[in-house]
Amino acid sequence: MEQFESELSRLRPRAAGPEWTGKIAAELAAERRSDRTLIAAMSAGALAACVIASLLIDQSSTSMPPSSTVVVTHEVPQHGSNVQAFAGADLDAWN
Amino acid sequence: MAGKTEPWRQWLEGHAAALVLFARQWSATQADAEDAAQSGFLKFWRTRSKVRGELAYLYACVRSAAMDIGRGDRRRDARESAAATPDASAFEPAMERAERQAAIEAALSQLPGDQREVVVLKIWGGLTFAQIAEALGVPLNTAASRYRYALARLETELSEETARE
Repeated sequence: MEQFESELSRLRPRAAGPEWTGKIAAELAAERRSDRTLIAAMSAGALAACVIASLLIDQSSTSMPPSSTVVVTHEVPQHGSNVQAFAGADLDAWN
Repeated sequence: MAGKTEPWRQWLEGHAAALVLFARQWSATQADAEDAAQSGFLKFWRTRSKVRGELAYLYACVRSAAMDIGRGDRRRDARESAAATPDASAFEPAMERAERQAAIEAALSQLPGDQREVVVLKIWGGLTFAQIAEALGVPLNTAASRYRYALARLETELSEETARE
């Protein structure tokens, strides 16, 4: 049996031509190019999204109205001011 | 980078001829077998990281591709009502033993397909029975017994051939 096996193994299968290997090389190279293009496109997309987002953030911060300052126009009541007010009031209006 | 062979080329250097021979079993011509081996190898290369037994997987991919192409061939043949005939020997010519080689090849072609594929994987692919079982999706004992039956049948066939001469 072993002798027969070694006789069989002495037969050499026909080698595939160099163009066969060339076709595989071309296919694999095309796939690598395609992968690189996809990665480049995704990177460019991500970069564009970042730029747009930063522009939008910047724009929204500049268009916002300035924070308003509350100005108190009335005077803080002073001690005795109510007495003065009473004194100056028209007493007839009470009657 | 110069002088360093790409990994896929190393795989092909070791297995290209055996892959084409393996694919030849389902292919009418050497060109079809080369197409099947190419297609199977590319599938293997893209997806090999998902498997553990890479060598068995490589042959399984080629087998699947060759069967697909073979099915296409049969449909084409049915349409054209033309039987596919092998175009040339699947082996390199050995001038000193041409007749014996032809007899071996004829005896191989007479084997049932499931036995022939085991012989090709073991003798020319260099796979172990465990790898053959994995590639074909059969139990290890089945792979081993198919191989033994096939060799016994080949020996008988060839000794009868020799006796007739």
